[in-house]
Amino acid sequence: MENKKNIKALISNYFIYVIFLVLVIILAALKPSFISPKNMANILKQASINGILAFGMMFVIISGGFDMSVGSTVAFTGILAALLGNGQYPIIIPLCVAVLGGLAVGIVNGVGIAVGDLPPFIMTLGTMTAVRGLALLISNGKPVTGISEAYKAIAASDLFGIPTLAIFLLIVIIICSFVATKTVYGRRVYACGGNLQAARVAGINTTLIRVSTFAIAGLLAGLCGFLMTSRITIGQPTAAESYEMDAITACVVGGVSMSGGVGNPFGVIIGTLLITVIGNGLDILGVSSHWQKIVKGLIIVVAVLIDVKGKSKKD
Amino acid sequence: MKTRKILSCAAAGVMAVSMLAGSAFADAAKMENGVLRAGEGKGEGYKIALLQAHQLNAFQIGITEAAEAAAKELGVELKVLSSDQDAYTQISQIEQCVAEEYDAILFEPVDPDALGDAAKAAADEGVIMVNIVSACTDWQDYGIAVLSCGDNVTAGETEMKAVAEKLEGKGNIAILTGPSGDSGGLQRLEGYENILKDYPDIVQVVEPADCGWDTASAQSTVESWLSAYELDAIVCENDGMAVGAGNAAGKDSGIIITGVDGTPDGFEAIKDGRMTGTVSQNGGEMAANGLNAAVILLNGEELETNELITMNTWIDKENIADFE
Amino acid sequence: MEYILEMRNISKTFPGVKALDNVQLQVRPGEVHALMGENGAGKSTLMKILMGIYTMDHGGSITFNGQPYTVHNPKEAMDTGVAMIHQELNPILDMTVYENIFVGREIRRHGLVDKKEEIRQARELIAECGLHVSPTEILRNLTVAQCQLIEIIKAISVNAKVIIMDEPTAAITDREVELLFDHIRRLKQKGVAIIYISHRMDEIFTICDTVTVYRDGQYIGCGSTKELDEAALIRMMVGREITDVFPKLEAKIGETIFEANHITRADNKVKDVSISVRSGEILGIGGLVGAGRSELVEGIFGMHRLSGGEIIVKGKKVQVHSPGDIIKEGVALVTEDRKVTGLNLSGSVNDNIAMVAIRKTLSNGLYSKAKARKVSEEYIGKLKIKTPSGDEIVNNLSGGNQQKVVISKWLLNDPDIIILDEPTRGIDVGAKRDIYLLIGSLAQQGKAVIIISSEIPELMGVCDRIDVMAEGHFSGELDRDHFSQESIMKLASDIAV
Repeated sequence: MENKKNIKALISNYFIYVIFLVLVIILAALKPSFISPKNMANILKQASINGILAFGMMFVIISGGFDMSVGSTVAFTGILAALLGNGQYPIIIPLCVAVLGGLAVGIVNGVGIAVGDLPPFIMTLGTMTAVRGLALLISNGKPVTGISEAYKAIAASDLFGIPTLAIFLLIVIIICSFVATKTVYGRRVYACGGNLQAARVAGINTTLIRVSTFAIAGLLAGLCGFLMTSRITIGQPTAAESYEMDAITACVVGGVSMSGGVGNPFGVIIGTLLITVIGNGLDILGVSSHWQKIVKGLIIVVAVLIDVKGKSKKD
Repeated sequence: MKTRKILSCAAAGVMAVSMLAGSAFADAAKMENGVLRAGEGKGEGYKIALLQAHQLNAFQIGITEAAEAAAKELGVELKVLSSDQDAYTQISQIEQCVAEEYDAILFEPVDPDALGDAAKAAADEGVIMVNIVSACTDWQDYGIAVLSCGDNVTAGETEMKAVAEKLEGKGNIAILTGPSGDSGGLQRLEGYENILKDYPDIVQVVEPADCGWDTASAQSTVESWLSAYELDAIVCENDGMAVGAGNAAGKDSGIIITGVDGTPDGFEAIKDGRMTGTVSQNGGEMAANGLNAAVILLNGEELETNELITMNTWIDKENIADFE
Repeated sequence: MEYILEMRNISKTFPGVKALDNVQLQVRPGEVHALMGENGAGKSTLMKILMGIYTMDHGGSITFNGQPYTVHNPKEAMDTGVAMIHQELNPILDMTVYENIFVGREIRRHGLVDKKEEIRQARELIAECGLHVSPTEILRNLTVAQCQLIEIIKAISVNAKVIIMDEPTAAITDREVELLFDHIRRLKQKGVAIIYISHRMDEIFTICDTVTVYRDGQYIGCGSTKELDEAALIRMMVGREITDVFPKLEAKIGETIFEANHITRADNKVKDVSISVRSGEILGIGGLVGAGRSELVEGIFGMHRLSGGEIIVKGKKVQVHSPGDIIKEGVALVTEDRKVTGLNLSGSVNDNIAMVAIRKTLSNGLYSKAKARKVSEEYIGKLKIKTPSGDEIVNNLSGGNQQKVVISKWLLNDPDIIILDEPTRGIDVGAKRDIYLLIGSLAQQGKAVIIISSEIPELMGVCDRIDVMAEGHFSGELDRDHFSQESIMKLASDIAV
C-alpha cells in the first residue's frame, strides 16, 4: 500500500524530467546536430526570454495570482529601450528605464489585485490590452529602428561560448531560486498562495507580498523587453504576443500549481527547457509548425493531469 | 486571377451618381507609372473614411500616413479607423460611416469573403466603395467602384525570381510564412510556387514554417535550422521575419535572405548586410490612388480602369537610396 | 495584579446592529476561562476586538499584564502575548508541518530562514504535544485532527500569556481531546491563561475554572464552574429553562425498511459494514473521526464506487450508481459539511429548499417562484427557521438555521429514510434542541433516521440503538439500555494493532 503510494508520488514528481530526457534522447538519435554545441547555445538563447518571464510568473502563481500582461510589458519596455538605445545614452539608461517601466506595470497589477481586490485574470487582462496600446502609441505603431551597435551586441555576444542571453537567464535563475527557497520572503509567498486567510491571520502582510510578486514579474518582463530589443535589433510594438502563455505553460509543466502554494524553481527550469526543446527540435527535424502546437498542447495537459492524479491519491 | 483581368464597367451605383452630378464627360483619368492623381484641391467638401484592417505594423502605418498626405493635398476631410483584424468590427464601421453620410469609404478587407455584402449595402446607399490593399472575392459583384491594390502573387513572383537569379538556378532554400491561412501570405506563396516550377534545382529542404509575421519567432526558427541544414537562401513573406532571419544568420552571411513590404527595419537590415533585398508593396501608394480615384468619381469624372494596380519593385543595396 | 487581562465597558456597533453593549471580561493568569453564549451572543466579536481585527467603540478599556492594551492587527496581538486558535481551520495544506508552525514568524539566521532550527524546535513541540508526525510531513497528508493539533501547537509556540481557543475540539476525536486537555493543564501550570469557547457542556465542566456568559451582546454574569451546574448555565445562556438537553420523543418502532449489507468501498475506506434501520427508529453511528462513518453513508448514497455489498430499501434491492438512484427510493442524506455539499450559499432560502424536490415547485413544467415560496414558507414555519423572509440569501443565516434549511430541502422530498451526518456541528444549544425535536418528530411519523455524530452524549441522548465503527469496519452495536460513554469509546478504539 505504502510502496504503491510512493511509486505513484514518485512518478508524479519526476514525470516531467523523464519526458524531458526521453525527448532529448529521441531528438539526438534522429538528428545528431541537435546536440551540437552550436545548437545547445541556440537552445539556451531561445530559452532565455521565456525562462526569465517564467521565473517572474512563478512567484505570481505560487502566491495565488496569475499574470496575463507580461507579453505586452515585454513589447512596451522593448520600445522604451529601443527609443533610448540609439547610442545617445550609455547602455545602462535603456536597461534601467525598461526595468523600471516593467516594475511600474507590475505594481499597477499588484495594487489593483491585492488592494483593489480585482480578480487577477481581469486586472491583468486589462493591463495586457492597455500596455499593448501604450507600446503602439509611443512607437506610433512602427518598429523602432536605429539601435546602437553596442546595444545589439548584448544579445549577439557570448562569454566562453555561452550566449550572453543565457547568462542573464542564469543570474535570474540563481537569484529567484535563492529568494524562493531560502528567504523569509519566499516562504511567505508560498504561505500566501497556500492559504491567504491563514497567512493573514499569522500576521503576514499579504497585501505587500502579493503586490511584490506582481512587481517581480513586471520587473523581469522589463528586463526581457530590454533583451528582446537587443536580440531582434528593433523595438517592435507587436513583439512578444502571447508570451505570457508560454511562461505560464513553463510553470505549469514544471509543477507549479495554478491554485497556488506549490512549485519549485528547478521544475520551472525544466518546464522552460522542455518547451524550448520541443520548438527547437521540431524545427530541426523540419516538422511543420502546426505539429509543434499539437505536441505542446498535449504535454501541458498530460503534465497537469499527472500532477492532479498524483495529488488526489494523497488525500 | 483571370476574372480580375477582365475589366468590368464601373458599378451601376457609381454611374448613377456621376450621371446625377450632371457634369460633362471629361477625358477618363489615367494612371501614370502606377500613380493616379485627381489634382490639388479637387476634393474640397468631400468626407471620406479609411478603414484599415489594423494599424499594427510599419506597412499599415505607411498607409495611414500616405492617405493623410493625399487627403491634405486633395482637400478631403479624412477619417481613419482601424478594424483591429476583426471582420465584425469592420462591417459595423462601414454601416456607421454610411449613417454619417460619408461620400466614399476606402477599406482594406479583414477577410476577403466577409465584407462583400456590407460593401454592397453601402454602395446601394450611393457611397463610393473603394477596396484597397487586398481584393474582396468577386469584388465586382458587390458594387465596389474601385480596387486599388498591389498584387501579392506578383510580389511573391518578384521576390522568388530575384532569389532564383542570385542562386543561378540551384541551391537549398527555406520559406518563412505568415500566420497559417492568411490570404496575403497564401497569395505570396502561390507566387513563389509559380517561379519554383521553372527551377527544378532549387530545393526546399524543410517545410515552410509559420512564424506569424513575427521577428523573434523567425529568429528562433532560423537559428535552429542553421544548426542542422546548409541553406543558400531564406525566403520570407514579410520584412519583419526576414529581419529575424537576418539576425540569426548574421551580417554578410552569404545566405540570401529576402522579404516583402519595404519597411524601415527591412531597409536597415538591407543596408547593414543582414538582408539581401525586399519587394516593395507600397501600401501608401495604394491608399493614395484609391483616395484620388474616389475624388475623381465623386467629381463625376471617369476612370480609364477601375482596377488600380500599384507596381512591385525589387529593392536591394543597389537602389535602396531611391526609396528611403 | 489579580487579572492578566481586563476588558471593561466594551461596546461595538456595526451599521444597524449593536453587537456588544458595555460588556466585560476578566481573566486571571493560569486559569481556563470559558466564554459561553448562543451564536450571535457576541463572543466572537469580543475576541476579534482583542485580536485587533475589529476596533471597539469609544469608551471601553483593555488592560493586559497591567498595561493599557491597543493592537491593530493579529500580528501585534501575538507580539504582545495574545494568540488565537480559530474556529475555522487555517492550515496551509501544501506546506510542511514545521513551515506551518513558523509561518509569519520564521526563525532567521543571517537574514535567511533557518530550516534546521525550525525543524528542531517543531520536533520538540510536536513531541511535547504527544503527536506522532514528522515535522517535514506535508499537511495535506495529515488527518483533520492532526491539522487541528498543529494549529494548537502553532498558537502555543508563540509563548503567549493568553491563548484564545475557539471551538478547538470541533473536529477532533475524544482521544485527541484528552491530549489537548493535558496540554492545557501544562499551560496552566506555566501561568498561561486560556480563553475557551465551546458549545460542548461536558468540556466546560471538565477543563474550565471560570465561565463568563453573554447573551444578545450583553454581559450576563461570571462565575466559577464549581458553583454552577449545567442547567444554571443553560438558563443564563438562553434566558429560559431548558430542562432537557436531549429531548427524546417516544415513537412506535416498526418493520425494517432499510438495509445495507456487507458494504465495501472500492477505495477500502469501508470494509464489510452492515447496517439496518426500522421505521420509527433512530440509529446512531458512532466512532472516531476517520473511522469511515461519513464514508459509509456516502458510499451507500452512490457518491463513491462500491466494490461489494447490497442495498435494500423497503424490501427491494436497489442498484445505486449515483445519488439520484437512491433519492428516488426515498432516502435522504443531510451531508456533514453543509457549506460544501449541502447548500447553495448565494441562493435564497426558497431556492435552496426547492433544490431536491424541484418537481413539486413546477408550474406548467417551469420553475415557479411563487410555488417555491409557498412550500418554503411552510417549512420555515414548521422548522422555526429564523430568517427575515424566504428570499434571504442563505449565507446570511446562522449555522443552526442553515442546517434547518438543508433538512427542509430533504423533507420536501418526503423521504422515508433520513441520514444525517453531524447534524448539530457548530450550532448553538437552542438550535440543537430544535433539531433533536425535529428528528424525534420524524421518527414519530414512522420515518427511519440514521445519525452520525462525534458527540457521544448526543448519540446517547437521541438514539434508540448505536452502531460503532473503527478504522473502516463495524466494531459493535449497543441498545439504549446498554448505552454508556465507556462502552462506546471502547468499541470506537477497537483498532487493529
